[in-house]
Amino acid sequence: MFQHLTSAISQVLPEVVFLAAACVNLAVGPFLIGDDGTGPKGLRHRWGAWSLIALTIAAWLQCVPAPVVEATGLAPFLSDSLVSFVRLVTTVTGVVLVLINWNQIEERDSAESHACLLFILAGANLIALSNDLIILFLALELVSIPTYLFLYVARRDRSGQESTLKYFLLSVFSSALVLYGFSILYGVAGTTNLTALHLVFKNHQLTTMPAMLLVSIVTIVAGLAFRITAVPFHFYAPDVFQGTANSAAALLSVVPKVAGFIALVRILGQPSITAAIHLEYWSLASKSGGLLYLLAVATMFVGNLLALLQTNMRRLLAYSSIAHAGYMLVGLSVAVSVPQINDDATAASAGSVNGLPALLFYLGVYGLTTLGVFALIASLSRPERPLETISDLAGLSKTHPAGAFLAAVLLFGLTGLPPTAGFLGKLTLFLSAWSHSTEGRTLAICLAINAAIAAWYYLRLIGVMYLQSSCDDTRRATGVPAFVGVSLCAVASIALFFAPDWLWQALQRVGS
Amino acid sequence: MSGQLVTFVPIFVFIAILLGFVITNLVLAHTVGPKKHTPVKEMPYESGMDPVGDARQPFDVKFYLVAILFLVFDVELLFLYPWAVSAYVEGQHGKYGEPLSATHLGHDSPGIPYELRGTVFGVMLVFVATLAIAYVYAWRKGVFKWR
Repeated sequence: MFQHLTSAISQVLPEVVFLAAACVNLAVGPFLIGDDGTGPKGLRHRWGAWSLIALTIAAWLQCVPAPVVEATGLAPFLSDSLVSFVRLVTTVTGVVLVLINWNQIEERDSAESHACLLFILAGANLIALSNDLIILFLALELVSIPTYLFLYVARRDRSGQESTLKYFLLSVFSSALVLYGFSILYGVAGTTNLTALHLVFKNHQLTTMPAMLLVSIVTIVAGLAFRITAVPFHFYAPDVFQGTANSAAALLSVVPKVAGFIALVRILGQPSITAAIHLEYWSLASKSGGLLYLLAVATMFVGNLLALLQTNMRRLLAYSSIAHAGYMLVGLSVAVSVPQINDDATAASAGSVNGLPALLFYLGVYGLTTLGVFALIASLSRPERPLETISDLAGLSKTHPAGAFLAAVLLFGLTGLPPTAGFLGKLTLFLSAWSHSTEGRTLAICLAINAAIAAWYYLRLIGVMYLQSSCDDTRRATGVPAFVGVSLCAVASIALFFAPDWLWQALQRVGS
Repeated sequence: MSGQLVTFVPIFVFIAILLGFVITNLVLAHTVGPKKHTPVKEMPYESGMDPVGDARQPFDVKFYLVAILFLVFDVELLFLYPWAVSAYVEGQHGKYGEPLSATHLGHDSPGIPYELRGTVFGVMLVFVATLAIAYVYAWRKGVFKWR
């Protein structure tokens, strides 16, 4: 009867590898730097390689199927196809982030920085694995607390400190909101176990919906909307992205979004279509649909319109990441609400796309492309010759042709143009919203309008790189590890366009 | 004196000794102790801070680090104590070494079920090891040097 407790360890082996490797960093790291606080030359290479080894071992363990545990419903962890997807995303994200971080970090800080990264990756995986509100909250904190350290260690000057403090205070506040929502949820349902929680609502054990449940939905969505930078909670992102190091901005643009969306998917659950036929049916998912709808529309428009005004690269990418959060919220809003049941929709549903796989596919594709852009900035930026503003990009096609080409590919991906996976991502999101309901069609139209707005500022960057000339025509130096990351992202985003099936097939199983 | 009150005599004696000890010490310190008044000694005690002056003075981060480390080990004790108490309780749900049977499950047993003892022990070891790593890290980073 205790199988689900004793076997819990075997379900989280890849995460244990991450945590163990990070503990080694913290235990050994301080002894490798001298008493004067300076590290020997080449220390960052060793820690970078160590992180890659940990990632490889974890990836190998992920391929080994976990022992099948009899589903008791009380298990603290839940291994399903969503978990395998999130593990895939965090592994790829982790490799690219380690490569970006490789030369960004000073020798003396390399152990701590890589340890934080490994903690964050383990936390992101545990969010997907958790089947309990308490474990979910701990996993969310395992992502956010090392993030504060990572932000601080990556850049220690005044602007770095300012952005760290801004992120810290707002993130702590959002964690408190999430926790408040969880406590209300527990008070209403009487259990912290997510499977049991959804069963309570599904089986009509509460005849009328308690009004407090709406409060808890609002606070949970608001707290997690901070992490995914949805619009009323987005205002910190541009400042933090601009003030912090490239590696930290890359981390913030992807990992908190994965964390927030997966946590929302886990908490809200999915609507059951058979139960929706009964009029009195309600669930966390169906009650939050309207809220997510509003968030999606506001996030898309605000993110894209403000991105048009930016001149700083990282600030532009911050607004771009807000806009992409809006696109993903379209997928989530569609995934949590019950499809409209009419003849038109059922006729279309034969070829229709479910919201959840579309959201997850877009999450992966967005992560790849945006990490690639940050890796490019990290690779080509030098203190004496920075890539800070858009005008710094001028003439990049002459000063670094390969970098300019890869940047163009990645920006095509962010715009959503073929032949990159970004096109398929936007297409599936659009189709899932269009085939869903009347509200879904409004969302789909908003998405199309915003994709067009976004094309302006992404293509403007490509124009600056290829059509304007730089005042300094000497070749830019390349930071090799980060450039490997750029190539990886660019190649993967093209490869996913031509062979999307292997990921898409895996994602189809998530929804069912 | 009624019969019941007799049982409390030791407590009354204890209170008397306690009060006598405190009062004697206070009186002795007041009469016998040397009195050297220095400006620093005359100041109200404020945990090492200067009580007079601008309230917005920077506060040394060393206090914070030591407090955090104290808290870590405080919480460790809080976590270890219930485990230590309930780990090897016998008799409530079968003797130690005896597997859990259905008859024992209905009881409100404070002890950890036999099957879980290994797991819980492992968890505690990992917990203590993690704290040890944190301690080694803090030590090497010079948190305990009061510079």
